[in-house]
Amino acid sequence: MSMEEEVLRELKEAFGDKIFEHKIQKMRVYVKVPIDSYSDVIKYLVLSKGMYHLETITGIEVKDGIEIMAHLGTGLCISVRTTIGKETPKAPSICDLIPGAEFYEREIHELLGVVFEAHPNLKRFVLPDDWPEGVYPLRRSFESKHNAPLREGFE
Amino acid sequence: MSFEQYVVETLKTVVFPGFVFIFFLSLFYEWFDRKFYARLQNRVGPLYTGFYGLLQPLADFIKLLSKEDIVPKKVDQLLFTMTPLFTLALSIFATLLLPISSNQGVVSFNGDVIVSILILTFICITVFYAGLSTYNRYAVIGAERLFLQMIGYEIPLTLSVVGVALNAQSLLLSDIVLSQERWWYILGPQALGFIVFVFAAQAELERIPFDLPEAEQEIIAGWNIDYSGRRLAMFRLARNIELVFLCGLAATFFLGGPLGPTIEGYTPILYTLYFVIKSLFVLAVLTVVRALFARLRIDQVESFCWKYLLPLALFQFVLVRLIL
Amino acid sequence: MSTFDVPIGPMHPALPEPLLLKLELEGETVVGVDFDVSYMHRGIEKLLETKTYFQGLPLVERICGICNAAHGLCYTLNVEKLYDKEIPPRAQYLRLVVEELSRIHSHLLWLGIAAFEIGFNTMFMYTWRDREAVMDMLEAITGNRVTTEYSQIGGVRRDIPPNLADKLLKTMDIVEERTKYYVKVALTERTIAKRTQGVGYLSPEEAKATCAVGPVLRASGVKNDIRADDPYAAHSDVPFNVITYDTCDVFARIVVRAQELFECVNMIRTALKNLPEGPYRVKLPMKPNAGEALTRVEAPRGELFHYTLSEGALKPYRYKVRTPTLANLGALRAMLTSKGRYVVNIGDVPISYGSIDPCICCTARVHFVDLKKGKSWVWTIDELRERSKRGRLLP
Repeated sequence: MSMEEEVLRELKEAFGDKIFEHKIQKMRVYVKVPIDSYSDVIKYLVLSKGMYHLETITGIEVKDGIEIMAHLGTGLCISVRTTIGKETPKAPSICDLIPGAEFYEREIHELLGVVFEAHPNLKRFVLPDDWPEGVYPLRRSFESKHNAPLREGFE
Repeated sequence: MSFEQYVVETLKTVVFPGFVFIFFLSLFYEWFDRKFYARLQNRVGPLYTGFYGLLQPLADFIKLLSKEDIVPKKVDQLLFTMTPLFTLALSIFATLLLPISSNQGVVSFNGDVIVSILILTFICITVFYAGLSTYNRYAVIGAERLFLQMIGYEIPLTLSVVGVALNAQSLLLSDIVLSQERWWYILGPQALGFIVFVFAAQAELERIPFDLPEAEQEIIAGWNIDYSGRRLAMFRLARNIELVFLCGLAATFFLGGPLGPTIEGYTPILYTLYFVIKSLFVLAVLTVVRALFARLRIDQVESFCWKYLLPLALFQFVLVRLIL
Repeated sequence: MSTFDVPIGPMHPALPEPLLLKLELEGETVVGVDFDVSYMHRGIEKLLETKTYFQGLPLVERICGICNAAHGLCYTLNVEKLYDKEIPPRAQYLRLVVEELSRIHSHLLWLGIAAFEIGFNTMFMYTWRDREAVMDMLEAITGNRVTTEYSQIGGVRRDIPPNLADKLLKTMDIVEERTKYYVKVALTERTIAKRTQGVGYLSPEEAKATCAVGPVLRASGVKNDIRADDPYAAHSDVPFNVITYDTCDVFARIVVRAQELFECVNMIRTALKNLPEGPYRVKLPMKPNAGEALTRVEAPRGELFHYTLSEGALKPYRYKVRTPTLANLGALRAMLTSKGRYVVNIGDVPISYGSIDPCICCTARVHFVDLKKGKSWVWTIDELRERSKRGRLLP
């Protein structure tokens, strides 16, 4: 059994049905969990598996909501993903587990409008101070006029 | 005083070896400092203005004079406008004490050794007020550092001079020069004093490793951050004249001042030449020190001054006393 | 004692790029710090969604000027994962060579900057002079001094001819010799030691907790290098040592970066000796398969992270970039706010800041906003040109 499968098996043993989607690539494991067990899975990985290193947190707007994905681990990278609603996106903060998550959560908060509960300092980070409230640049609804047309016969 | 004497004295003060001569000499020293520093760093330095960029400092000076005059609203107007003048006046006065073209300065009186050290402190204090008068945060930190630094280097500087004065049994600069006719003080125990003097002069002139009051990377320009245009030009000129003064002082105290073999009739010219060569040697030492070290932190400056410079100066002082 | 705030930045001689460090001082001692990195946000992640995979590469290379080779490499490796195609080994070796060359140039540049931050201008001038040799080699190999754009989707842009390889080996000898000298200077010069030892202390626990990456993490004694942990390009075939040092201060970061220079030189030598024959590029179709890919590359500043989500279309659905400086900002804060364990003087701030080898361009990736109407837009380059002709930027 490869390293990736081993980790996935252990995760399934610990959380059972909570892990309702998974994907394996070389040195990469993606698991999808519901929002209420998102921080539990990360807690388990950090405390029991010693995966102290958080690569980053990616926020993506997908069809049925906003997906948050925390990438953990130095060699083998485990991505824990969860989907939350688009209207009032709320997610638990993992800053108490990994202090290094602060900047990543602030970035997602600004660019996608996700509110991280119990975050120590959810202030403006990458956007200018005079950026209008409620405009989230990484949302699909944010119209960027820079859609440069492809040249003819490009394909 | 007859009319002729009056004219001669005035010319001495204003033209040679007074203000005009010192002005051009200070620009030349700045050029030498910049060029030598650049060559040490494998750069070319000033190159295009004049012969090997010789006129670059003058061009910089004129450019600064022609700039817009800005007095920020919230500064202390009086101090802000007066301190550059004071600093310049003090440093010009200081150079009048230097024996350049003869064994005597333009101004010479008993105790001028003490006055020359006193003027250095005065310059430091005026600069401190120049920094405080702007109420800028960086300037305040710079001024604060300037004072802390002064507390550190002032005593070793004075002690190193005391050794020399003790050896010459005089507090007159011309006596100190004349007492070095046979051998220069740098060849005796005062060599230690020379080292102390060089580091103290470096600190006085705010050059690396002691450029904390205007440390570019930390507090931008320190105390002179709000100065621009002709006020900045005045400060820069004052700084250059101080450079001439300190190099000249080191030459006077340790290298026999303007003394050297002379030809009848050409004495003032030759003396001036010797003076320039000797003080340029001191300047070269200062520049090498500037190129060799990294900037110290303020607590390290203090501990360096009190732990190394002061004992060294005291040791030299005791050594001179024992030999006498 | 009352405190007062001193801003460092956004424009400051010690900072190469706009960043605002709000320092809270008690006399000369730093007691608090806050960041503002918003001056450089360029919206590159959003912009990448509007470009095809092949158009995206030049944009990605411009995230950061200095570690552009790492960005380009990470992007190409990432996109190639979406195709089921083998990339020729020669291309992988050549990528490694250029990556390590750019690491040498970046580390030499950093050594100069670090010396500059502590006022040691002479060393700054000397390291930058010798960096030119490496820049010349980069130009000879890739055709460009800075933004090399060497790594392409499917391979590399051009091959290294044998005579150039010999020249490169000769340059490596020069670099090695000069580096030895700099290491000697950095390790023996008293004022450098005084200004760096015990400054910017970052304990291994803090380094792990704040998710620091790269030389900053390794200087805290944590053995972590993506080239060893998750090898990419030809790193699994070219051996090297992961350099760590345990004094956890700025001095350790100097030592780690300097020792890494020797490793880079050796890696380039090994790679050039074992350079496999074969093609250096394969042609890949415009549209990759649907799926997602995640790649990490050890950039000179630390671990670089790229993630892409593809729907099988021409353009990526989402492209995420996490740059090493962003990961190290937390570590920087830990260095500057000691919470009373040791004194941080304002004089230590520039070198501590410099020690993470910051690249704010990388971190914050322009949008124009009309405040009155509350709408925002991005001008196209043609519009900008038009406006610059008219001589005014605002409507």
